[in-house]
Amino acid sequence: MNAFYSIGKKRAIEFCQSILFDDKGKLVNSCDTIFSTKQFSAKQQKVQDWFTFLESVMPIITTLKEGDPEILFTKVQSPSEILPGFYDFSFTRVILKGESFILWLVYDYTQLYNGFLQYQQAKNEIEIQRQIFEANHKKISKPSDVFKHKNYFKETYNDQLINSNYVFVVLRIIGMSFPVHEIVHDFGSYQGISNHLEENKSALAALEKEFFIFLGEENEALEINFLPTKLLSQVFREIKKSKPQLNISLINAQQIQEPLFGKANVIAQVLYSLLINTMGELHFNVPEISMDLEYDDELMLITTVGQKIKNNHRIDDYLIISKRLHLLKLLIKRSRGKLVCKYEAETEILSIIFKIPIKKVHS
Amino acid sequence: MTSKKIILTGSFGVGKTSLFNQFIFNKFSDKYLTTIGVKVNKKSVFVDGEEVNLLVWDIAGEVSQDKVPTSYFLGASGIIYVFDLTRPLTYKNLEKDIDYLKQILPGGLIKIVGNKKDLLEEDAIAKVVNDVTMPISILTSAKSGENVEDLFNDLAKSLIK
Repeated sequence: MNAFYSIGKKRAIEFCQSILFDDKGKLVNSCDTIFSTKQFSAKQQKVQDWFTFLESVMPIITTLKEGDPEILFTKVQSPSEILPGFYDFSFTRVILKGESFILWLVYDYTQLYNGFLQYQQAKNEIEIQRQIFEANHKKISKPSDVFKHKNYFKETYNDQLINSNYVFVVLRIIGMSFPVHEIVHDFGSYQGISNHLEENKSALAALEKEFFIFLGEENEALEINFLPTKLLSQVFREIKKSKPQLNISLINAQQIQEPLFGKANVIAQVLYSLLINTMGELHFNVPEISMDLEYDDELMLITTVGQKIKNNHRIDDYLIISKRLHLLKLLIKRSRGKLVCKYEAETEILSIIFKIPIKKVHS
Repeated sequence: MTSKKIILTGSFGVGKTSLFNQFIFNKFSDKYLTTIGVKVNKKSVFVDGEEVNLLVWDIAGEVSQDKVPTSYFLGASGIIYVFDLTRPLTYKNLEKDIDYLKQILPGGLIKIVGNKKDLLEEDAIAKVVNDVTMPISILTSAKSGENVEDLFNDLAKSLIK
């Protein structure tokens, strides 16, 4: 279906434990693939006494009836000393040989969610600093004006490092039913839209903001974002002033000729803010946009933005989004990366997969 | 002994985990560590001589509450909605969020808490209280511990009434 689900499924098989217990919490069976239940069964401990999370959900899961959908608790963090990572817990009512039990599935997503945690940490830190900055500088009335402030970059710059060779970014836009069909009808394919825009230079020129990149030594991307064009040089001066030790240069994405390297979390934030900016400017809601990052063979992060779809979209809205994606495509192309679009009519899922080379950074 | 499930929710970075750690472990750290899912722990409090077991769910902060997995709220008796007194964006959506939480947990008790009061002077706090469009239940400082015990004790008291 897509990278996330296929890898997620693979992981689920590799890192899943099934545990069966009755409504009183008496353990019936466990495959013990993630943690051993012997210590509990030896003491004849009920499941709800194993750790607090189970104690707190027991009143709910015992109300499950046969045929009810599973109750899923995602990203349960360090529920016990024997489960020190991140887990998804699923509970379902099952009937076996005429007897009723609760089936508890434990998925160990520690590695996956640890990656997400790093990303979210960096993202939240920046956003908190930005909010505090804005709250303390009341005279700044327009969001873009915040960039004019001499301390903005000093106060918000973040350069956390993540070791990685490659980052794969999968953007899934779910629920784009009629507009996608319309687009495909008009242009033949999603590729057709990109080609159309590439030919139509005025469409790109219509963008009010510039996509820019600050490069450090060895073409390492330090900051990538959208800014109003008129502010670019000013911001560049400020960042040079606040970070004099950095050898930085300002270039337009369309000027990139050499392979570009970026830190994984920077790239992730670029993609995230790219879509947020687009949605914000258009006052346009997409039902769900998920981003999955993989590092080499491993799924790295998931995040979701967007809201319920409205029925009054114009095709132009989607085209403006695709302009942004087109810019991204140029960036990726010049980074010697790859971009693939897949649309599944049945599930109404549009997947946009980016493969971006990332410099391995040793922190 | 009565057990009550309590949810700590609100935007990210408002101090939910700090309130959780202050209440459960009497600890505070200045370092911000984001929560991406849910952490659960418990602590007993006494209300009029009766022991109440508070099962506290510290969940990932979201800008909008409709992003929080609804399964987290299953079986909850009360919600502590935390905002940051120093960041207006964390209480900008307060009314909308509270309306949503009332739908998710009909009849549930909701406390609105302004945290990080140690970071503001009295007049600045008064201004925030004036700006907030709904009645604030209590102002806390997870750092100093001010009003943290009171918050949970009052909640427990209201829940077993």
